[in-house]
Amino acid sequence: MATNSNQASHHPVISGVYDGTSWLESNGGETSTLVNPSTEEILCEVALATAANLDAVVAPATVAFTSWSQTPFAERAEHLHRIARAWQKSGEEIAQSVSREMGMPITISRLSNWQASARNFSYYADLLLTQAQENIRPAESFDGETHVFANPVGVVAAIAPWNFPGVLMTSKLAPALAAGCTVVLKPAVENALTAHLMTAVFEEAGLPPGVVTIAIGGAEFGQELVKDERIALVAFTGSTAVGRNIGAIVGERLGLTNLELGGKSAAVVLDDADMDVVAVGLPPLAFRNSGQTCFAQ
Amino acid sequence: MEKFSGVYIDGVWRSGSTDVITVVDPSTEVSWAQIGVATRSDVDDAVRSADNAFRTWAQVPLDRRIAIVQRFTELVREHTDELVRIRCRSMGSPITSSKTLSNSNGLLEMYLETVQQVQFGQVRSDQHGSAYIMRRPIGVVAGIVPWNVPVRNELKKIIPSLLTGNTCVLKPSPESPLTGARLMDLFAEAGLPPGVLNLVTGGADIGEALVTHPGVRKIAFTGSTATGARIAELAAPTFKRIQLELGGKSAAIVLPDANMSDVAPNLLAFGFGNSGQICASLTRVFVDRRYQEELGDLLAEGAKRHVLGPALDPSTTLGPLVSKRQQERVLGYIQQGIDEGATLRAGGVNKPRDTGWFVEPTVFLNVNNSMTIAQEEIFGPVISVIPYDTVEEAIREANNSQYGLHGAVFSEDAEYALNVAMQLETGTCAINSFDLPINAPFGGVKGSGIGRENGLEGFDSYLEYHSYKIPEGMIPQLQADSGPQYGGESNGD
Repeated sequence: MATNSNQASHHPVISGVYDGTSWLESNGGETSTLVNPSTEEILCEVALATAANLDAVVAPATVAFTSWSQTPFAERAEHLHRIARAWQKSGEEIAQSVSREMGMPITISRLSNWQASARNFSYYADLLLTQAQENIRPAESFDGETHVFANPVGVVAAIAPWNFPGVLMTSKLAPALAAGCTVVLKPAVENALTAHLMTAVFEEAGLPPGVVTIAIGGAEFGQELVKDERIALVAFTGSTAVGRNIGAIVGERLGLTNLELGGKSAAVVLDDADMDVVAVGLPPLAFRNSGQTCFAQ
Repeated sequence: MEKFSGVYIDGVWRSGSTDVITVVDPSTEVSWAQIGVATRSDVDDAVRSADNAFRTWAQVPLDRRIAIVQRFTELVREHTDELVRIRCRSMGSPITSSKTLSNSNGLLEMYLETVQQVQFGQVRSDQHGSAYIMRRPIGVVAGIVPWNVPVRNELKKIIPSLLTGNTCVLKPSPESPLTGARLMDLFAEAGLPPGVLNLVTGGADIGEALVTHPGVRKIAFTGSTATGARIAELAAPTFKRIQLELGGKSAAIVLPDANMSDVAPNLLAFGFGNSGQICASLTRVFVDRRYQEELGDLLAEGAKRHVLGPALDPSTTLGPLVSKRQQERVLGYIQQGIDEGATLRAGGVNKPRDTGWFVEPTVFLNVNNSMTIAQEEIFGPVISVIPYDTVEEAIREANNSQYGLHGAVFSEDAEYALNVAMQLETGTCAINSFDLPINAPFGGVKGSGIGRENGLEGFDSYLEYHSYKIPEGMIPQLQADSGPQYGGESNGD
């Protein structure tokens, strides 16, 4: 968990702004304290990104888009496979980090923040290689033919919550990178330490500078980020209320959104169902991650 | 004065409010028809009717939906002359170029053919199990259309809605509302069940009522960028799907090796066609400075060849603009072009006829891309020729626009032209031509909109993916039900 403070503290302060090459020195603004919810032990302070940092994360992603979007499919797929391998190597460390940050039991954290997260990259790498670069169709009443391309939309702002950080960040990152988009990632403040581990993964995998930048900030920074005209698509997972707000802001500037919001999912137990099976099947989904799952039943 | 009803709900014509829209023939300035206007409570009823109808229409098998649209296609063919006349008298498009209703028949056939390629169901498996993935209709679609291409505009919203199992509430434009009303009758005659398609004629207030209505699940809009942005903002709180086909300021890049006499006819067709009232018009022409005079002469000759006259006159090649307001607006832009220092080579601010809202086809040379006439969508017969010194400069300046709808590149070397085309920030681009085949996905980037119409991709925004985790034993049955032919959800009785 995270609490904001302006008070000086003796805990280490980590950067909240990664410009696609390195984590930047703090500008001395507001910080947030990360606390291990299992032990209430203070983990660190995070220097939060502010509107003044917007350029530091958006500009490199905009520059990198030009070359990343033109990188051949096979080469992009190879980059993603390298990330998957590097993530596999660091997986235990990432899983431990998430558990410390938000209290997820380590057994679930390993499956989700380690295995499933690494797999997202290899999955989209393989999927990319099955996609045709262009679709050619006869031009019917005209001479010639039409070449239809599915081109990347541009810079993506990926905003993820803290409940399943690994999977929710990588299920935005991996398809965006595979498609040829660059990404400004805004993880939950709670996951600042994990975000630092992730950039080590990207660097080990040799991802070109600027292809992924990271800004860890509060709601106000998030608002500035989605307003930015340079962001082509906002991919968001979080609450319905925030999603509604993002939709209006991005819509007004004719940007694109991809919103995965809240739920109150129903399980319908029909009268012929085997209650023993139901009793075993339901609790894991309802209680997993202490109920902090958007499709909990 | 001919009278039309403008409110059609659940298969019944209604009187609507006490207001009416008077339709004035832009060629003659004679008021010739009146149509009723919907109230906000009509909008509620229309949405409720469409929502009720959705429950059954979404279950109708695809082949049945196709059969109804096929029958409708025949009826449009039978009623073409009537629809053409309404169109000519409503918005001034000349009868000589309106005969096919802008290839509405081709559009219908394209939809009927491509909907059969949509994969409505598929089974996907991995080591953790299997999912049955369905593409299902969304619900009530509000189709909000402009006046510039009557019949075709309406069909681009109605047909993909109906074929995919959605229901529709159509709001035609107040400038040209009559064809929308006539189409309701043709759909009823084709056997479309009541409530599947409803009509609420009206202005911006009726549009806004639809956009904010909680029962509407998707907005399909064609119109201005300003209105599109407003729709996207207003539709967001209710999480509607939106598909916006907006304005353009499309560039034609004429590469130095192009043959100017091949290029000019293409530019004339798409610069002045429909009196420039087409969103994809090629209104900025980038040409190597050395060939500007040559191309300018050809364009000016083409402009002068046009015969301006009443839409119904068979000798007319260029009709009036839709309204006095548009005429004034376009003339204002032409004056601004002159004031900002562009060279007027043909046309100008004179009103060529005493009656009717005509504007002369106008060609400007020596336009700078930062001038108002190069940056704003004029929606009139005005071509701005912008000379360039290097191709890189032409590409950069072409992209220096809030819009990104269409474009064209002309060269003897088609491969080089395609390479240049791929550097343009546009949804579509034509090589050595102006138009786009009807089965190609059409739509813009940047301020030109969101989403695509036409072709197989045109159905994407009308369908929602639904995934079902299934036990392995069900796979064979579901695979048998899947595939392109499976469009309905048979309820088994």
